[in-house]
Amino acid sequence: MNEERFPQNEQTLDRAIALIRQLPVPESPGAKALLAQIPSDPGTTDRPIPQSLRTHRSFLLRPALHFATAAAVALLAVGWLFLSSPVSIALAQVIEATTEHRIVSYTLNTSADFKDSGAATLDEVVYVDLKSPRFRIERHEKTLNDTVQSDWVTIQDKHKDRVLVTSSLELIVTEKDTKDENQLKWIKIFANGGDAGKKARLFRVSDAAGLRPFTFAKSDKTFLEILRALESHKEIVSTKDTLNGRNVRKYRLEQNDTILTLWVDAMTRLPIRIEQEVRNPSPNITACKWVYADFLWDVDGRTLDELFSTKPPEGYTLEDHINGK
Amino acid sequence: MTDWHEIIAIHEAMLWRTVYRVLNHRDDALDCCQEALLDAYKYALNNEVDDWGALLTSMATRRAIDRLRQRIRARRLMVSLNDAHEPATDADCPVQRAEASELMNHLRILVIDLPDKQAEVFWLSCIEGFTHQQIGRELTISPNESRVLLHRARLQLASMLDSSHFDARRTP
Repeated sequence: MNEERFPQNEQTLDRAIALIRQLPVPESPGAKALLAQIPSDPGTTDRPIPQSLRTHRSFLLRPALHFATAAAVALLAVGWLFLSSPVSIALAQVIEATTEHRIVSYTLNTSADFKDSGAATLDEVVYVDLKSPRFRIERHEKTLNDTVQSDWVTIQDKHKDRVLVTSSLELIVTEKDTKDENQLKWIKIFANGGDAGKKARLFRVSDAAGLRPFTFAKSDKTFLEILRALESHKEIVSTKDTLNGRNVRKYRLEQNDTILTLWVDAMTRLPIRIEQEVRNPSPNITACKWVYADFLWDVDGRTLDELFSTKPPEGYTLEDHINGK
Repeated sequence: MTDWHEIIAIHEAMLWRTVYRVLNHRDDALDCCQEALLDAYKYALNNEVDDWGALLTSMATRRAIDRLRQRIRARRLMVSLNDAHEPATDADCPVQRAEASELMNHLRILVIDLPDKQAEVFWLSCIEGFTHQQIGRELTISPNESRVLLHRARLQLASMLDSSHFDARRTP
C-alpha cells in the first residue's frame, strides 16, 4: 500500500477535527421529540415497531417538500391579503386579479452556484388551488448524471389533512451502456440505495413526526408570498417595461443581498414572471435564484379532484404513514 | 424492562451533540436521533446492553454519516438556504468563521467518501474520543483492526485535503 504522507495536510486535518469538536451545538429538541418513534410501552405489547422516518424523507424527496411547504404557507396567507391595508394600490389590484382565479400553475426554477461544485438547478411545475389550501408539485427529470429518470409528484390538501408523495425512479443507463466514470459511480450508488421503483407515501399534514410543514418557508416563497412582501415595502420601485413583447409593469425591490422583481401584465394585471435572487447566502454558495414563469390561470384539462387527489395511484407500492402500513 | 425516558435523561445531550456535529442541521439531526434510538430499541429487544452511551453514540454516528452521504449526493438536486448558516466557531472575524465553516464542511464531504467502517472509526475516534477498545466493542472488530482503519482513514483524508486552500495562517 502506498503510504505517502502529507504533513501539511495532516495539520489541516487536525484543525478541522478540532473545529468540529468545538462546534457549538444548539439545545436538544427534548426527550419527547427524540423518543417519537419508540413505542410508549416497549416490551409489554406486540404492536409493530414504527417504520423509520428515513424512508419517508429520502434525499430525493426533500426538494419536492421544500417547495411544497412554502406553497402551503402562501395559501394560508391569502386571507391576509384581502384583509390588509395595501401600501401600493397597483399591487393590491394585482393580488385581487390573481385571486379571481381558481387555479394557477407555474414553473419554478431554482438555481444555486456552489463555490466548490458549480451550479445546481431544479425545475418544477406547481399547481395551486387559490380557493382552498391545496397544491400539487411535479418534477420530472433525468438525474444523477442522467442515469436515473426521476418523476415526483407531491399533493397536499390541508382540509383533508393529507399529503401524498409519489415517486417513480428508474435507472435508464446500465453499466454496459456507459464508460463515463461519473455515471458508473451513480449507477452503483443508486443500485445500492434502494430508492428505485414506484412508491406512494401518504402522510398527515398535521403529523408532527412526518413532514413538519413550514420548516423551510422562511427562505423561499411562492408568488403570492412575494406579492405580499412587495406590497408591504415602500422602497419598491415600479416602472413601465416590456417582456416578451408585452407591455408590463415591473416592480423591483432590492434589500441587502436580496433582489425581488415582479413583472405584471398591464392588461390583465396578472403576474407573468417573478425572480428572487439572493447573493452570498452562505460561504459555499455565491448566489441562489428562484424564477417563477409560464403562469397559466384556470387552464388544465384535469378536474380539480383529479389534480389534487391524495388517493394513491394504482401500480405504486404504498407506504401508509397514517394507518401504519 | 428498558426505561427509555431514563436512558434519554442520561444520554440526550451526548446523542444530540454526536449527530449534530456530523450533520449541522437541526431537522436532519432530529431524524437521525430518532432513527438511532429506534435502532437501539430493536437491538435491545434481543440483546443485553452494557453501555448505553457507547451503543447510542455508535448507532447515531452510523446513521448520521449515512444521512450526510445522502445529503451530499443530493446536493446538486437540493437547494436550501436553511443550510446556509453555520455557527462555526467562537471566532469573531466573519472571514475566519466562514473559512472554519468551509473547512468543516470539506472534511464532512471527504469522510463520506471513505469506506463505511473507516468513516465510523475515524469519527468515533477523532471526534467522539472513543478508545480503540470501545470502538472495537461497538463495531465488533478488534482494537488492532480499529487502529489500522483509523490510520488508513487519516492517510486517505490527509491525501485528499487541499491544505493550500485551508492553511493554518489564522490559527493563533
